[in-house]
Amino acid sequence: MKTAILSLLFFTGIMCQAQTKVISYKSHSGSKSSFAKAYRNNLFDLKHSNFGIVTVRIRRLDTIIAVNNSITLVKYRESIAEYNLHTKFEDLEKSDFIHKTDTISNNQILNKKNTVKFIKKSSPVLFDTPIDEVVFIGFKNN
Amino acid sequence: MRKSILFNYQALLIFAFLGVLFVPFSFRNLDFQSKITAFLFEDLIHLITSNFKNFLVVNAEITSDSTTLYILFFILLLLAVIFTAVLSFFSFWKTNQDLIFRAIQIILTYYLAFIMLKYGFDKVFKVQFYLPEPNILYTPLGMLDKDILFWSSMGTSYSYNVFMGLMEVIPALLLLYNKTRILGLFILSGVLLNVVFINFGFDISVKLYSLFLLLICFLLLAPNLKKIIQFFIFNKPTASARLKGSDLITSKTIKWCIKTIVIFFFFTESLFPYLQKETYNNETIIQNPLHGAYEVVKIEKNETQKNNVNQKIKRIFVHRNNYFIFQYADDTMEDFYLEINPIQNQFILTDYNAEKIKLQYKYSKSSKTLELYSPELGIRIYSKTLPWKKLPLLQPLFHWTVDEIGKN
Repeated sequence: MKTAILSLLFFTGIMCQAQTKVISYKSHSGSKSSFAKAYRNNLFDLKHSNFGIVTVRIRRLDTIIAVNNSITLVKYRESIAEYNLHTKFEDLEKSDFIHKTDTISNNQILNKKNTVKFIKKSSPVLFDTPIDEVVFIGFKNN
Repeated sequence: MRKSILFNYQALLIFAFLGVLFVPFSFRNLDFQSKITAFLFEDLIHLITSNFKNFLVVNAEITSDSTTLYILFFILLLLAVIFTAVLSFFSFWKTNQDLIFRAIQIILTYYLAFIMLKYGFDKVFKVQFYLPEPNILYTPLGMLDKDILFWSSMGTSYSYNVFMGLMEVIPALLLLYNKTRILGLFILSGVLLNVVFINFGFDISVKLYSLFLLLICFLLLAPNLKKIIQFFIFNKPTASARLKGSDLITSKTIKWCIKTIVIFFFFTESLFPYLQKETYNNETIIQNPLHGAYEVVKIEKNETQKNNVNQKIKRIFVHRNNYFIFQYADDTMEDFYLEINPIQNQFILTDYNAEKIKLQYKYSKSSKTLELYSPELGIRIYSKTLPWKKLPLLQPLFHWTVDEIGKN
């Protein structure tokens, strides 16, 4: 399950739906009673829905650590809120992100057995992060 | 053109131009627009709303169909009328107004093309009208509001989304060339009229902005309206007056350079994000593995301090945008913002009062069961996955003949 969740984070752009604030809210809430509260405080992902334009959660991969032949740790930053599809990582402040660490097991590419060169060649971009900006620890160098 | 009509037309053109400048749309490369609008108009809007108690402002941000957006449009209209009246006294304006209004028309044409490309590609790549969420699919039809029902219905047909998207992309492309510009505007007027009536008919909160786009389309078509009527109603041969930018910039090289930069900007804004993320159909993106619907099969409750927990939970949903939803026996729903900690197998639910509930979860892929436990609430919920993707609404149903219906 964790591998599946991590695979999801790795290999997909986190693209959310294009929607208005009301549609965004109604898609998960059957009742209108909390809409005013959510709208007043721009709660959760409501802030970035507007004219029916796509929103995304911005991610930046920091470090990949090979613990052993089956376990790999992944450290990354994820924006707390969703943003317009065109928002770039550089546009956000440090405080807009939370740090996350996840564990993946038996991943074919992010595996201690592989060299950094092989991983970089296999996945030139992970989490929308250019692979050269990612720090690799515990992998073979050549 | 009569003087009063000309004045109104010019005032509306200036109003539309001010709208292009100050209505805070989300651009990739022009993200300062909302800041400029807030800097220039926020205080004035606040002054108006605080003096007129009839205006209900829940959120001061200027967003689609917010009270503040209505007030912004009103201010821009007022400014446009004042500008048109005052500027007519200046000799510079009198001698150059044809050129200025032609430039405004060209800017409006390109703005309209750009916005339609953006909305069009969102439909083509299936991110605007998305596949209905499991919680929507299990809500009785009569309990849904018109807007979410419309949005969900649209989300069930991929081909119609592509068609609707192309109906916006193609006329938008026609607007980029002066030979096809009038045809593009003519098609877009129909497309936008339909969008406006959908927004009004289904109470979708992009009413004001869609009306604004329709106004731009009509303003650009207006100089040719007589000729269009002559052609279609009176069957008379007629040549439309071309709306072209070559009168403004005589140098072909400069004209093509500007045009290339503008078109490049349009595509980086509207198409590039999809190419960059290699996302050509949003439905094909791998979902959160826990995303889905779960039927509650058993609930165990221990005595705790918190005994006021509604135990009549019928279903549980995990929404793809990180929401956790309970559906109760009477079909009412309660939703929470969801954070998943896969290492500790923990769900952290946050309600609209910022109160948090922690649930331990255990998911078995083989038996397709999800077990939730809250020591704090003393509740343990056993649930099993529902095959929501097999619901009739999500099947690729198509019949050439009625005779095929009902046959396996």
